Amino acid sequence: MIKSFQIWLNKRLLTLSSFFGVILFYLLLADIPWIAIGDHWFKYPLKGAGLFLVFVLLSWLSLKYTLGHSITKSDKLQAKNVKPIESIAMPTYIGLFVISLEISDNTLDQAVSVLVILLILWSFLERVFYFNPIWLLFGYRFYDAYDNENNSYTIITRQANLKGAIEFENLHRVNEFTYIEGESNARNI
Amino acid sequence: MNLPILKEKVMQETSKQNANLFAAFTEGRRRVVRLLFDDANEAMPRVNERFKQPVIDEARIYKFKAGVKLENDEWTYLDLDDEDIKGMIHPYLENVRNTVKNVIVGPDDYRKIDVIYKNINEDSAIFYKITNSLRLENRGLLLLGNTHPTLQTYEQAIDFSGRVDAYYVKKRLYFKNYSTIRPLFPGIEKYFRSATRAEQNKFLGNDFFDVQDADMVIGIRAAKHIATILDDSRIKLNDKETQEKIKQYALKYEEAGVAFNDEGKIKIGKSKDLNNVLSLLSGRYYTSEITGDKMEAREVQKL
Repeated sequence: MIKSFQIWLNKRLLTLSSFFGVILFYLLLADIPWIAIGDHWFKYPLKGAGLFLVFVLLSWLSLKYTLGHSITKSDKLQAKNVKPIESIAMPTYIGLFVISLEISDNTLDQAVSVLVILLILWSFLERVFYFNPIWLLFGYRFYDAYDNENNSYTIITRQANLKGAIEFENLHRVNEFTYIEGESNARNI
Repeated sequence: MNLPILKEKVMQETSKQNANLFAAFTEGRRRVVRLLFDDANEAMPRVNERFKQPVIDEARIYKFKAGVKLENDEWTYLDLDDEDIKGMIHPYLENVRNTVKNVIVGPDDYRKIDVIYKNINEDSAIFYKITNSLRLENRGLLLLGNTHPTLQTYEQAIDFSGRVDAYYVKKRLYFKNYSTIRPLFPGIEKYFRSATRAEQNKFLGNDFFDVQDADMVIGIRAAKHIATILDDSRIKLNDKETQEKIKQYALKYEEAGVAFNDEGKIKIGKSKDLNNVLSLLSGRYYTSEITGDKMEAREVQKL
């Protein structure tokens, strides 16, 4: 598979896995014939559990694929400070669930149109976080890291509670502003 | 400053550590750096085999002097001060510890790239100058080897021989050809000018010349000629016999435009006069044995 296609696929997979929570919520609430279970007491728990497992699988696959097919695998950054961004990303993410809630009563094609438009807009943004709450369960944390010229980069790492000036070494480049740390050996400088 | 001779094994081990491959070009007044390969890229081991830190023999290095011709295993060097390092070297090495600041090279950069370089560590690098002749577009390669012949085509490629055109280490810049590396290091001209000014003064200060513009600008080609003439012990500008030979030569080829004043001194008014004099002293004017035409050679070489 040629490199540019790999990179394109990488980004789309990450976008989809990040966005899938929204799609999942919509699928949970909307009456979609091909995933209908029938009107049983366990309808929502079963449907929810199934969709959640798909979400986890997709999130795991996107992470593995990204780490294996990123443009670079050992980018470096000497950050003068870092700031966790879950508190910023999560409210935005939850906001998308509200959209899902609103459109769950619409017809399927109306709902799909809205979701596709959101997905396309999401995927064209260069500074999208690729925020995926499932990755938090895998132990990843999201930070904004600032270099000495105040340029900011999104760093996704398994290191928790990072503070102050940090040196990152094994960064995998997702795009020019988003990096996932491979072997975590971030250290204070 | 003594530079230790490095063993090849040590160099190879060093080159594995944090060695990234970059490309650079000029945009406006600034040097723009792009990342080609990071050190974890699968291509880097092959790059490292081809593009290596050179072995520099302390006995075969010479401080930079315009016009000096080097053998294959010789290098000339410049010791850079901090200001020059900041202007000439820093743009290349400043982001070695912050590679995220370098955008990955893209197709639009292909035509602009004028150098590919590899950092050996945070403070040294080797450089490979890229000229238009090294850019290969829409080419096909017929691969013949131990397997069946195949055809490989590509749209944009750069001939990467791994030749080291410049090597920076410990505040010293090694290179073989000043003209080659001059565009890569803005500000390096001052070293050329200081090297040529001394020779210029020595040459033009000779009693045989009547120089009307002592501050005329001397180009690279003229500077090399001056250096060659000064190095040739047979051209004795102060010797009366030599001076007479030069006068007769000038008279024979008066079309060359070399003029003399009343005292018999060669008049040098501007750069064009200087170039004519240098061509004369280099023996470039001749008469064709076949046609009898008076000619000027572009280059001369002793048989």
